Amino acid sequence: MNKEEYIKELQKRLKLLPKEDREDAVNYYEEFICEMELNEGESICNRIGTPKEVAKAILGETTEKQLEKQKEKKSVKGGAKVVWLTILAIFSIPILIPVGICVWLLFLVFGITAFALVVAGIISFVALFAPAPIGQKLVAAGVGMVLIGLGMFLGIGVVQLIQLTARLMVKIVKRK
Amino acid sequence: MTFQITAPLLDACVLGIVDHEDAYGYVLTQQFRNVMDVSESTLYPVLRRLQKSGFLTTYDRPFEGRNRRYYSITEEGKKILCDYRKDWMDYTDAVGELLGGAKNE
Repeated sequence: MNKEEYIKELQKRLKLLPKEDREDAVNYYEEFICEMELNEGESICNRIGTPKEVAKAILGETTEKQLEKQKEKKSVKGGAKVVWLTILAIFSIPILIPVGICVWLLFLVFGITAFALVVAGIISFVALFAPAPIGQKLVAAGVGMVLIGLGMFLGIGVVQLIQLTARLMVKIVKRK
Repeated sequence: MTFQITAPLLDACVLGIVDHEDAYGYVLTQQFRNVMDVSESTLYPVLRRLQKSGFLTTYDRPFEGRNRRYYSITEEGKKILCDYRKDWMDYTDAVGELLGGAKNE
């Protein structure tokens, strides 16, 4: 390997560097070899190091730099993330309140429905005492019992849902 | 040499040399090699780093049909060299004392 081949080899190994960095490095070593008046590849390798070693030193330095830059970028990104979260949190407070109100109103509606079902069932049951044919009385009583059952079922469901939601809300508020 | 040289010390020494007089890569390396055991390819990454940090600038001067790239110190470089010198003095004083040197008055 002569000087030209050495330089070519070095260039090849620095392919990943930006053009400007690569040219700077290659020029430096070319100058260096000239100053040392070395012409044979073997003596160049002995004195300066093989192209592989030289390239490694240059790349090591550059990649270290790049890693540092990337770290800086990341921390900036991290900062952006915090900003975003803050913005979201600010927006989520006014959002959370209407959502909460809606949920509670929904529970209220379910509760009233359950209550209404039970009342309707009881009224149907009262039909037992009305002057009517026994067949109709029994049908009314049956429907009444079904309604009471449905109402109670819905009522229990609503109570459990309310408990669950209340716990969830406490958790959300506590986390903030 | 018994004692290892570290990257900041290399930086500081390079700045110290070019603060005295602009120099090109080969001469810089030779000056180092007169004092310590560094390989011929040690200095390039150091020079490049200092250049990219704005502590050194370069210019080319023709020599025997090719160019020599001279490195010279910038104002920024002079500032940091000042800090390096101060730190080094403090450090060598302290180490000198530990070694039981001249500082036992």
